[in-house]
Amino acid sequence: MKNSNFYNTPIRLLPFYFKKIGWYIIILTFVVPLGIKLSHSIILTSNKELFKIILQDFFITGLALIGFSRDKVEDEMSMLIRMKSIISSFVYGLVMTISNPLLSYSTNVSIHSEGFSLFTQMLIMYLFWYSALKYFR
Amino acid sequence: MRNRLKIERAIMNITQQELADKVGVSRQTINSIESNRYIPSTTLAIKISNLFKKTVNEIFELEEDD
Repeated sequence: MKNSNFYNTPIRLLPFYFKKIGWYIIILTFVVPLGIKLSHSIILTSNKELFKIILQDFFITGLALIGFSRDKVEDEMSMLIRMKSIISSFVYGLVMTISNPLLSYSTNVSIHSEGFSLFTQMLIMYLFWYSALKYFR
Repeated sequence: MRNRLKIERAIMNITQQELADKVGVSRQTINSIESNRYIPSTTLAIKISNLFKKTVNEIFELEEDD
């Protein structure tokens, strides 16, 4: 059954090997700063902020590659689980966006809800729900 | 939705993995269908019924609350 219709076309995901690349990137974002710290390199003292931003970017890229690449067997049920997980993480993002300013205001504690932090949390939530729902299906 | 997947599979003497490979899904998906935790799409239902050389209605049956 060939369906050229937009609604019948499955969501395009990255090939499976991108998942491995994503994991390698995430491991590197933990290993590299540790290595630099242990070797007492000058990078940490001179360009600390830039280094942090680059690491954050790599971390979020790694998470996104894991989250948006195909599984070994990608079928309609994994697509459904993926969709439900994305909705859960979206709701989480919405709740955090609404509640954080109120919490910050009422407790006088500044809660960082900048784009990077929130999107990272949302991606982690998505991956958590996806893994959990896939495991318990 | 009730289904006779487990029975048909036993008649044909094939494992969940073999059925999954033949219709292009994971073994867990077949297991979820057999345990009535997941209702397959029309495409998958037709693929499964074609494999067992039966009509979709012979494999899948609506329940009263469907």
